[in-house]
Amino acid sequence: MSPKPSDDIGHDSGAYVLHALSADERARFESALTDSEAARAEVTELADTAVELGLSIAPVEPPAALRGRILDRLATTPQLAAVEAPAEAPVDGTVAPRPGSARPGSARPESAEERARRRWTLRPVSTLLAAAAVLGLLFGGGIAVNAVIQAQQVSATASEVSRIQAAPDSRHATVQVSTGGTATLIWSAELKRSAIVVHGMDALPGGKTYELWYLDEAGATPAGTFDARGATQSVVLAGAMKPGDTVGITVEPSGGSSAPTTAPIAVVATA
Amino acid sequence: MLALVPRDLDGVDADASTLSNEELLRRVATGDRDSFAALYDATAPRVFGLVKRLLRDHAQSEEVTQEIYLEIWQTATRYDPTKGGAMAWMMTMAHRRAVDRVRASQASRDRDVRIGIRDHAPAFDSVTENVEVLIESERVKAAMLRLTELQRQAVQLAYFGGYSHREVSAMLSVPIGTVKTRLRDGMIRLRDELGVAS
Repeated sequence: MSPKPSDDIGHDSGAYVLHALSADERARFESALTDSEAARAEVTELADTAVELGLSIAPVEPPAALRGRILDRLATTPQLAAVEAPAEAPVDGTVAPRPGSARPGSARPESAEERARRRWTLRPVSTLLAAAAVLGLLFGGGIAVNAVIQAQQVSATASEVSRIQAAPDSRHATVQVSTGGTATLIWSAELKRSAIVVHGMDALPGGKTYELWYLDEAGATPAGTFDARGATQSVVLAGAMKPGDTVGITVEPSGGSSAPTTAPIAVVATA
Repeated sequence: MLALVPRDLDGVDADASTLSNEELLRRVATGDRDSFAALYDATAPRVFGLVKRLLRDHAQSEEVTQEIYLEIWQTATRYDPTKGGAMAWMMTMAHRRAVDRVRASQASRDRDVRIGIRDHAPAFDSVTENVEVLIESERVKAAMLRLTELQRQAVQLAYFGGYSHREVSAMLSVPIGTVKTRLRDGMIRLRDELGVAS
């Protein structure tokens, strides 16, 4: 006999790990998870059980060409910065050994709850809070949750960038930014979406922001703002891209403008 | 040049095929493309098999597999081996992305039509395949056969078919609340049968 779930949400754990919930149900469930250690432990175990189902499926050798296509895209696909301790930051392309990293057999056995709690601090970035963060459905919850949502927004961007990258008609082009750095536009006409990966751009003084634009013969359409954070950064452009659109970056007052007020510092043509 | 030494060392034990998936993923997180290629070689048939099971369509399965591996490349920095195996991390991501595609694609609209005509047995049979056909692992097969009929059908449709609980509810003609309960009870039973809990 299975243990009684603590409340109505508790019934959702099975559907949750099978990815059978709707986006808003998933968000509610995840929000409830932050309050219940027991529910997190259950979710961790059931998620591992779902993996067993996946591994029970007969492997299928993918077409050889797929490997090359994926490897070809790595060069234009930025990796997310590590979220953990700065000590682990790959300064020279190496990573310091992690304390207690997986040495099979050497780890002290952990309780399911311990595992779940630790997993919870990892999982949000990859799966758990995606829908919630994207839809803005989680409110409050304190600093920890906010940090998770920020990390998740980064991850949601990564997910969208990889979707654009993986589109059959995906293309990319790199230009120099006149104020320093480079900008690589990745786009798919079929998806009508584009993302820009900027590298080495200067942080702007207070009161200023970078703004993205879709430019066509009719003029400029705002496509979102960003602030340079870290060496490499990806931004998915807001709105739909039309075939032949050019993408521009300008410096605008904080909050962005409805039409460019300065000359573009980078322009990428997609035609 | 000192900074290059660790990479050179990586090159020395270049037979990446002997490394664990966890170690490969750790190297991928440092931008190591050779390790990524080795990880792909070690895991792609599993991932592709899962994706193809859900999507059926070959071209879409390739696209989604590509999305999954690019996401692995991008987010490898967030993987911590102390919190679970690399394969589990990747398979969870793969299932989620395959389900996302199922929901987003024309296939899901086609399914709505099929659900609308669920009383026609052939359409239903085509999605509730026999456990014998569906599952290769004897251990998982045995565990699945310990579930009640409704638990098994619900879990099968959700995991192997990528159907939402709403779709499962329509297909099995049971209320949504019942589907959720069966999914949970079924997964708990599987967990216990498979000894996943420590």
